[in-house]
Amino acid sequence: MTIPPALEQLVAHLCRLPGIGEKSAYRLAFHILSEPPEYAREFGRCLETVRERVLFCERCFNLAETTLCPICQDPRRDQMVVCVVESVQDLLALERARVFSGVYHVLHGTLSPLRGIGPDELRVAPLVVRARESGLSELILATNVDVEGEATAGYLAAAIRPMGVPVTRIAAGLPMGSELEFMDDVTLSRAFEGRKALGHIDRR
Amino acid sequence: MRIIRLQLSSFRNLGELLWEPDGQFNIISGDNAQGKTNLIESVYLLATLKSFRTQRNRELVAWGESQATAATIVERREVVRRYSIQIDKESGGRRVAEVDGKRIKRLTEYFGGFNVLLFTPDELVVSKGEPSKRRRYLDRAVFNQSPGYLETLRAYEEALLNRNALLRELQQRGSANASVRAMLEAFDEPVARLASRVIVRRLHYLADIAADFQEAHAAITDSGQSVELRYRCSLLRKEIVVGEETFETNEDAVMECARERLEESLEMDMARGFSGVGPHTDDLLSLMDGRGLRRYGSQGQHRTLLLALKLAEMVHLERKLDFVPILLLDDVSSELDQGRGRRFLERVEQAGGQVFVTTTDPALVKPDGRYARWEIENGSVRRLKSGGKS
Repeated sequence: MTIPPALEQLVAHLCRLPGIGEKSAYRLAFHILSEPPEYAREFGRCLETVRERVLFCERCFNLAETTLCPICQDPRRDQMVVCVVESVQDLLALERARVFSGVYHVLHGTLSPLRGIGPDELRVAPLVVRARESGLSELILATNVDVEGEATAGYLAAAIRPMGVPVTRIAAGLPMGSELEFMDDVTLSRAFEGRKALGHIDRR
Repeated sequence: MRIIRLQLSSFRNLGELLWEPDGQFNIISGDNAQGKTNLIESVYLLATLKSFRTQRNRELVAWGESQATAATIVERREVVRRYSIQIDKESGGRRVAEVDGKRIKRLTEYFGGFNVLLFTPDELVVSKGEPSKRRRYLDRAVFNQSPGYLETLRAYEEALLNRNALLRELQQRGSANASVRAMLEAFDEPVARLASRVIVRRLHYLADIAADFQEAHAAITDSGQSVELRYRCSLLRKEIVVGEETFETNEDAVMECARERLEESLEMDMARGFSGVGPHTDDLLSLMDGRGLRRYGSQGQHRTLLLALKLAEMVHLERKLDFVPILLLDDVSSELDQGRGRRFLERVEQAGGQVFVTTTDPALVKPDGRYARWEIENGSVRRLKSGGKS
């Protein structure tokens, strides 16, 4: 049996999504076909509008429906403290945890010479401009703690520190609820490097 | 630790096999191509998730079958655990590992409870062959005692590959390109940190086994020759004599050197397009009576060195983990009867571990007669009349 071309085209599009192979693509396509027509119509409309309406914030490159994202527009947030993250997903994780009340800058990736990604492929230049022109009181580097995330943080620190902006790096080490026994070497030695004096120990 | 039961299904030519080996000494004999090494390979796979004969897991699946399974029940310090691995041919050799019936998602969860030491004639290349063989040997030994080392090695490799990509870019875009130079500086930091960690871990391991190695070597050899191991470190720019010097085991100090050396070698590195210094170029040298073994060693000296390294590793694992790893000796021929092999086995037996020996020599016996003897023919294992003990 030959597959109707329209179905084949849908499958081809679904296949392009990350994590979707041909098998899953067929399953999704058949699911869409088995639902009432209204579902497909609504789905199609969503795909169109999401692309039209969702843009990148001009200042921080977070997702936005206006020129500035809600975080950059929020007067309660400290616009002078900027936290640099690799991706929108990372930003959302920090927002969920409610640990940070400043604003963000999303790089959309990390430096990866191996895959041909340099500063020009990331939103590095606008960050440098932002650091130079807005008199930031702190720049927090919250890239991931892996080889490329570390190198990216090192690169940004070297580029921005000369502008007189205090640059900090988030701590690395043991996750909460973890057991030392099962930690890998890298994590353990990071945790050791980043150890802190416990305050207010009374030794009298 | 010991294997209580081994169960294989469609593993190479071994078909359906259920085997309960002797708790101590097993001699497995049989003609070539009957499956002796396959048996040892299955145990090695269960302990390390890798074969020592092939990189492609799918080759482990029997001809015409779609899946191979290896499962074992192992006793270690009176704790009994079940390990199993399933290899799927269709998916290109994907493996699913379980410990006590629970599927393992991260590799590091699997390791640490099941240790084997392998000795095959192929491993003589460790002392004879290229430096990369010795690095791999050393890295595996470090990994055996602390599985977390794998992550350090992997990260170092990633950092190094990125640095090399930048070096090639400097070749193309001119070595003065400021933006690439700035990236290189950013990547030098993780390269230096991870390089020093790899070096320090290797040196720590060598320092740990130094005394055991000397003792093992003296016990095995009958010639009274002196032996010396040296770690040739390109970042520290020296040969470190194992066990004699105070080791450079301060990571920060090594890292300081590493940073300087990376800077010094930058011109050269840019010219050749890759990093010429670092633990990926280091070597482990062995000297007998002051002469380099690799060039001047006899077959017997190479063998003695390897046996001594293995023995030292075993004793070290025992001291560190408080149990004796399982010893796999593949294709040892009649050497066991000779002085060197016999002294080696005496030491192994003292430690009280479980041993598996394969041989094509039906006459091979252990002089004291304490062993279980098995014959493997057409993929099935049969017990032969055994030695005195069992």
